[in-house]
Amino acid sequence: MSMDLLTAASGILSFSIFLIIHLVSFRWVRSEHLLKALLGTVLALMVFPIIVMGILFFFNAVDAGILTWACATVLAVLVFGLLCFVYIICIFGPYETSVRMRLVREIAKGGMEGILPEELLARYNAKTIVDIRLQRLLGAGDIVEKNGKYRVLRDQNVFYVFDAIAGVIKKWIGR
Amino acid sequence: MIYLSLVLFLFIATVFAHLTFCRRTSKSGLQAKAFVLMAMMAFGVYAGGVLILQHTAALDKHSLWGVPFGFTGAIIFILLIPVYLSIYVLTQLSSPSKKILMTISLVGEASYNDMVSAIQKEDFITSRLNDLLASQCLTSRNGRYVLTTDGQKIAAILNLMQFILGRKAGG
Repeated sequence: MSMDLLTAASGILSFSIFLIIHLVSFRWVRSEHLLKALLGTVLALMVFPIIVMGILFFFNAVDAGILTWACATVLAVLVFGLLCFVYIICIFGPYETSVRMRLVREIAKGGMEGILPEELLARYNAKTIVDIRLQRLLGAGDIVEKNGKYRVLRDQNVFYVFDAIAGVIKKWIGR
Repeated sequence: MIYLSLVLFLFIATVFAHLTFCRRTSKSGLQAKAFVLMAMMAFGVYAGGVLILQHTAALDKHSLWGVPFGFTGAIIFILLIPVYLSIYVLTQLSSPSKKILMTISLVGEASYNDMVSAIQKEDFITSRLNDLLASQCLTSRNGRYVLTTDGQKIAAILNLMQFILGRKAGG
């Protein structure tokens, strides 16, 4: 097997382990602990491709120099990280947080007859949105509550980084 | 490393080409399809580059620079496409969580009712319903919202995901 395939396989195998852990254990994770649990699992499993590549290096699976092995390990971690990112942002995230997806599910409950706007708003409204989000933000430690007032505790997380990049893009495209 | 350099160069070039396109186009809305098309073209260039590099003896395969990471490079390139798109959509979409954080940040401290009013003011539900109507996932019949065939497919996928993930509906 070539170093190229070993690197990709190591990253994909690590992601498969993440996916198995995610599918088995995350059904019991409460939504307020979700972000921390996801980040923790991804960070902990980043060690996995390093271990796999270390074992393969030990058994000299491919004849290559140590620098090439080091580079391949970094790439395996990168492939794993990107796969996790894409899964969380494009598959799990929309299921868990998208307003549109929730609306589709609520309307689907109405069957072929559909649902009246009032019925829909009784099931899912601004209060529901705030309740779900507050739970998540409090659990993630982004905000704190004291005497019924909410305060931002941590004004910098991974979403602020994305927003900052999006802000630069927005400025550049002028919209 | 030359393969990875090629991946990075082509990806950055695609992003710049897309941003330039967005700057110049008169069309409003997200230009995600344009980016996917540009990325596919760049991927074709990458695939061609890999074939040329592998069939010529221009590089020493045992040197760090010449190690053929063509397949890994291709995976990285493909995965970078949704990464960019997930950031690009933020230029036009706002999330309720972001709105809540902004509401609190603006006044220092906010009550539950302040946040509910902010979410109501932003009208997330109506704007999302309009998006679903515009994308024909949803239709309005006799004053009722009804899922179209596409909408039913999405609902079926979401139900399947609920079965697999075992999690309640989010939102």
